Amino acid sequence: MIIKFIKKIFVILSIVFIILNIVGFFLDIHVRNSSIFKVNIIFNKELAKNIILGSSRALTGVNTELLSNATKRKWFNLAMDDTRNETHLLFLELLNDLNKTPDNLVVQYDQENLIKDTTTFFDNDYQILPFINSNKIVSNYFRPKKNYYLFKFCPIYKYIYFNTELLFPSIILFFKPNYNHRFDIRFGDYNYPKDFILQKDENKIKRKTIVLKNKVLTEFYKISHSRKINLIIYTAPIYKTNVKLDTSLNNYVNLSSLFKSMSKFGDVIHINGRSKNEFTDSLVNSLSPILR
Amino acid sequence: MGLLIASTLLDYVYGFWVASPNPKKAKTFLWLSVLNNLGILAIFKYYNFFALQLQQGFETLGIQTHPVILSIVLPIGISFYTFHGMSYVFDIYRGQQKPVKNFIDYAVFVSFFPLLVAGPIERANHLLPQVQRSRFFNYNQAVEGCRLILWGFFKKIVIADNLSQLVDPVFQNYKEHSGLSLIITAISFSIQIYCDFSGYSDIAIGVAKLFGFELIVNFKFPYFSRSIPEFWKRWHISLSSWFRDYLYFPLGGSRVNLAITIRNTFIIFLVSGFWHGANWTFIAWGLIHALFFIPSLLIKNKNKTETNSDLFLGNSITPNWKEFFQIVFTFFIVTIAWIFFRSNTILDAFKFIELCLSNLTKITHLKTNIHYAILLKAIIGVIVMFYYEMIYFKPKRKLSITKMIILLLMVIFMGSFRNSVQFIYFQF
Repeated sequence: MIIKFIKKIFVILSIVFIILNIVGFFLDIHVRNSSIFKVNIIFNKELAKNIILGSSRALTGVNTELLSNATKRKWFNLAMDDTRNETHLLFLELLNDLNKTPDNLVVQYDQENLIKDTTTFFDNDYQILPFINSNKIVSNYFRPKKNYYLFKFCPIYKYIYFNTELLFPSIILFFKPNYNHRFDIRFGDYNYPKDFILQKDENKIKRKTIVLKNKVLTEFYKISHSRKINLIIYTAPIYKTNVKLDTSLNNYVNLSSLFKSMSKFGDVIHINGRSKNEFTDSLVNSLSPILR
Repeated sequence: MGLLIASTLLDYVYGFWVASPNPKKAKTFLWLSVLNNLGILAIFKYYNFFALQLQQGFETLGIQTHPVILSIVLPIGISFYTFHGMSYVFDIYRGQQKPVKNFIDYAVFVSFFPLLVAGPIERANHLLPQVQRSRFFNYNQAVEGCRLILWGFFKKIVIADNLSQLVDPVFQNYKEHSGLSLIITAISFSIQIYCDFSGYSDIAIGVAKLFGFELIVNFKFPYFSRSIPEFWKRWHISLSSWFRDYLYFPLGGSRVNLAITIRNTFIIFLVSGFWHGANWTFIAWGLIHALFFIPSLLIKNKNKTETNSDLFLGNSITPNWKEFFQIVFTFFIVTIAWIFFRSNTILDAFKFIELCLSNLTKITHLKTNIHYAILLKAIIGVIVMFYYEMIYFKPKRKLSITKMIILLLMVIFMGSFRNSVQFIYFQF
């Protein structure tokens, strides 16, 4: 009896496991062939020769259309919310591998990249997972090592572990094939809601200075130098915070203290939609003399 | 581990002493056993709480004290295995159980792994005979066990863990949220804690079935209760019946005059609240239940109608209007009590309730599509749960293999694996 029971459980679970992984394999293809995430854009689309990389502060803080018009160059904003410079470096490595390196690369750089443990997942790194078993670069440079082999060799695992983030959008893709996750397909921007306004008690936010030091930046310079990319690093505004670098950098634009008023911010580290154009103008002024 | 072994050994030995034919000697050892078990709880679970309360008390009198605070981690399952031990000694004292000669049998009863950390709290006269007799693999029992394990995982991973992602941030920063969000969060927590705890019980009962054991049923659809007394016949049954048999009845239960019955009720709920943890919030939670238990005692005294909690809403599958409003009102009271249970302090709980009445037009805790997706998963889970518990827990109705596979797929694709959280009752 016990053998019959174990056999039945084993057979049922094995069949479920095999079927699920076949489903996972086809879901990978389905997601890879879409334009759902920024990483899909890198693989599947012809990109502009001027690219912005960064986190949510670049994604929502730059008006890329305005930047394109003002600099008379076509820009694409590859920034992703809830990412760090490690993810952005992986993007640069992918661009390099695919021979899609830009002429001008603007990388937004700030303390968000310093406070998180780089060995664990950052919130949006899952977007790279459908490519993990199909692309050598993603495999080699994939930073979070937790569950790496399961993600790589068990296709369904990523859709189970990240079911809210990856499975649900992949189902939406069946109904809306052109669905994009938090970005505009033309320029790559995204806008936070209109009521995104910093509402904390001003006195509770202390004035501070952050000193940036990040070894990832060296890697950006290495690749940029080898591929003759004009790399520009910038820091976006942070409320009541002055950012300094521990070493001097070429082409560094520090706009961390650009805005003093709370009304310009959605929260402490993000400017809001109302000040987006004003910030972009300042960025244009800083970039114009150093663009290639 | 050392504490578990020591506690098991002591109660094993007390068992023989309490079985003494000399009533005086038996009673003395019974009290020693009680002191021993409560002493373990007092030191490891409550000492720091009392020390800090005394310190605060003295501070209000202007006296500075520096009590010794123990830096110990609460031993896992302490509240459960000490109650197992006490149940064994009590049952021997009452003549309902003979002392077990084989120490291994007794140790299995105390530390049977599925129920060691979060129950159900088993009775010696129910589990020990099962430990002592030979067991053989029973195919149908094992399948039933798998069904319960799967169902427990569904409630825990799909409903409770998804809801915890929405509930926890709100309770941490409740002052920043609208009344509507707070109300939704309070209801969500009621569902979360039920699915978390009953999910664990289902898994424990299911695992025990695989080994040929039948454990006490711990939950019987408590949120369909029409009154607080009925709720306590359906919620954490193994604990409430433990207190009823070993504390409420010895105190006189309800067979004494009304004043003493009310006193006994308060004692039971205070102890029950305190059993959960050394915090005033748990005591407040117990008190609320006691307060809403009393009206039914008054009514019951005049009209001795019993509710049959084995049946789901009598013989009907849907409630009539009267029952519906009774269910809603009971759920409302239970939810208010859960706010105290979940809050960090009693003041936080009162403030939370106060803020529930402000800004009822805006939802503030669902900010991104991810939050809505999580809520959607939890809602689908709750609908399935109601359907499943209403239809398939009826006697003689079993889930087919196909439906079990569908349930498994729902666990796989809707579970909160990335943000899994520990079972709430592990902390007790």
